Amino acid sequence: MRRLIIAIGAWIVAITAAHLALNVNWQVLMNDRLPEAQRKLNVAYIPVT
Amino acid sequence: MFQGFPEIKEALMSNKMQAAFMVAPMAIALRAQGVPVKIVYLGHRYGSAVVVRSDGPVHRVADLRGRTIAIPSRFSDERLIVFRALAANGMNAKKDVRMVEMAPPDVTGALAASAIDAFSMGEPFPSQAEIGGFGRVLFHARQYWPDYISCVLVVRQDVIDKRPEAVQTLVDGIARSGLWLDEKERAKRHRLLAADFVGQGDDVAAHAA
Repeated sequence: MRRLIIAIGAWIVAITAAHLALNVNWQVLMNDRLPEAQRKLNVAYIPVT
Repeated sequence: MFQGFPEIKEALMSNKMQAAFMVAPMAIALRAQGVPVKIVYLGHRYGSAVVVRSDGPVHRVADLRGRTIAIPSRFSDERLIVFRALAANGMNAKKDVRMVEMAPPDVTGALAASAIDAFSMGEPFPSQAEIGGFGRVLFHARQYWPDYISCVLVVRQDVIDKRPEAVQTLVDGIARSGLWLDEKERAKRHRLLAADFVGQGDDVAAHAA
């Protein structure tokens, strides 16, 4: 039983870590926390001329 | 990267984005509606075309009568091109054709599936349709609109007021990227890098160039 709980816990941690690495844009999050004068400008575009 | 101009407009208005490339008429409309933005840089010329099905019945502009044409936005140069071309051929865009707004990445699939008869759009979509074998350029924007400009760089007025240096850096960088693309010795390699940046294949980039 203990091994099962550890395995499930490890799986949850691994999935959470993968989600945070793959789906969260840390660059944007960090940029939004900077003082306004130091932030990078967000420039929108679409892949068309 | 966005997939449509209306989403860009909303992101700019909500300050999620501080600057945006958008079709010139939309920038003018935003300004006219009281949204505090300013055009700080003009984009490219001549990148747009009207494309029809390669095996379809449309071989000249007059054949567009009664057809459905996809455009990126009602506030787009691509819509105005259709107006100009039809007027030059004695037709009225409001009466003689049906225009539907469609996100640019969707138009090639819609043409291939015959959901539309034509689209008026910027590159790389005309090239995608031609390389795919189901589309044919009916006319390019420059044929009816010399000095045509499609997209412009728009920046929020509050950003211009508070951070003019950052805006100048942005404009300088974009100008330099244009010169970089035009470097004759490495133009082909640079175009391929740029194509990768917007998620296009080498063949489409070469065809569009």
